Amino acid sequence: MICTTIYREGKHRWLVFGQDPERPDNVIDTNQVVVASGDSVVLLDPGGMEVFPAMLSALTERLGIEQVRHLFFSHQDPDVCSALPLWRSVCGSGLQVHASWLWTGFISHFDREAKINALPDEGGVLALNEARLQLVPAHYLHSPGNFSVYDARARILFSGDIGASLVPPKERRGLYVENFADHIRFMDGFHRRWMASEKARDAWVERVARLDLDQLVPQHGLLFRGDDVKRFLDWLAALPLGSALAEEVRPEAKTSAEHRALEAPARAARPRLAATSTAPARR
Amino acid sequence: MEPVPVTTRTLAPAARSATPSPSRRIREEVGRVFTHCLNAYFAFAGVGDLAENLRVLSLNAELAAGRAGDRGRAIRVLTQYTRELVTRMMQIHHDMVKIKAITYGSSADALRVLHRLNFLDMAQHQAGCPDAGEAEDAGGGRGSTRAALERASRAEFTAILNAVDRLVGSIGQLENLARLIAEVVAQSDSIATNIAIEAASAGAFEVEFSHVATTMRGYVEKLREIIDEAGGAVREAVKSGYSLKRHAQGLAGQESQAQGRAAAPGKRRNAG
Repeated sequence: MICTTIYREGKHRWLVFGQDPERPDNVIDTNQVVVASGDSVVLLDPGGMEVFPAMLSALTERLGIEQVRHLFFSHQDPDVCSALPLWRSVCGSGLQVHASWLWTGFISHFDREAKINALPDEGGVLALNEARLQLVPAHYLHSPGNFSVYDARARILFSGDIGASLVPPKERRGLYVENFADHIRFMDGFHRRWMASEKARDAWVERVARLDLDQLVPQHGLLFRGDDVKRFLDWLAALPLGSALAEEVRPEAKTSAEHRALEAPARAARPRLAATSTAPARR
Repeated sequence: MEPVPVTTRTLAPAARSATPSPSRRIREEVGRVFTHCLNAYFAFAGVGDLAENLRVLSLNAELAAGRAGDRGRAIRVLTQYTRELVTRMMQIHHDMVKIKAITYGSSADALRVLHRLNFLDMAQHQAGCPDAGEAEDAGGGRGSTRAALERASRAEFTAILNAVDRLVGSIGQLENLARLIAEVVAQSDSIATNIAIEAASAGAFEVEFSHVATTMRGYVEKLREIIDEAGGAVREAVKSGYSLKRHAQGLAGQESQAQGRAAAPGKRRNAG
């Protein structure tokens, strides 16, 4: 697994682990993010069971396992949190686990003995020694209970699935996006299909645009830095979302006549079940 | 602020072929035991319905015995014995449901723990943890990681042994219940025979009482089939359960020896 330090100032660091060359093709690639402040560490989206061995090995090349004090789950997906019982078994007994209140009961299916700190929808602050990480609401992007993490000191936003890209290994050139226009094709389909709410998107973009940002770190694929952060926000702000509903009524249709006009072809296009009958045929 | 130089390091590729055979062996054994138990529970599933049928039969027989007056006195006594047997069968059925929950739960626990253990083993391998007997690693990160993984593995082995104990215990209880059902079957058969004998001297009620005896023998026959089918599965489950327990104890013993050697660097124990 590749580890990259994307920020360091004194004892405050951000590290990104990912692009595991041994990862099976059917297991989606993920970035596991570590924020260390002095001797305290939080793992942001520490990854699924399948990457746990590699992630633990890579992590402990740089710091002691006893320094890991917090696990933070941006949302409930297995690639984010299914390794919870394994992390709990190797980290100290004071380990704290944080996730949206919406998902605590569901995440418990990965580890029924875990005590999870239920985050309210408004988010909050995660204190890590001198560092203060803001938990920024990002609900419905894609998960209904979802947070980004902002570090004002490092000027980094961990954005979870927002900004995710699926870049084939042979097309990767490092950790960061170098050509935003060329990178769009790796993000476009994912965001159109996964991101559930344009209203939620608008609120998140507005919130994030006000932050002082140097880097934006998604949970999948390449990172954004410098001007590419704004390019991404602008691109996302204009993107139509919810592609699975593309044939249904679109919100931009204003009149009832337009709604009916849009509905008719959508109904016609829906697959129909073959007619079956268990009744004996009449003679 | 000056941009921080970004450092990148590629670590050694992870080896994914580190599935230890003892864990896999135990996983297979748990699967085998669970399958035998499932077969037994499936076979025993009819006990509840048969008990209810027998209860209804005994009630109807008692009513007929009442109508028969003096000729039905012996039959009445036999139907009361029958209802006692029915009560025992219902209790056995009820206990079996509880034991089934223990079997399912402990099997699931064992498999879940083994699944986690698999990843911990891979983590130990990838972290480059030395095998027992090699020198303690000098790096602080590696040393504490190894200790953490060993601690976690020990906890998992304890959990496996507990789960296996519960599983094997539930098989023992199932075996007892199978024995109790066999006793009930034998006693029911005896009662059916006695009803048939009493029916012969019941005069006008002979046909009715004979029918009760025949029906009861039919239920007894079905219970015998259940016991035959389930009994085979229970015997296999018992055998597999002992084998599983041996392997689980062996695995836990091997690991604690390995960890004991790792905790004492530079010392060697003579094999055997």
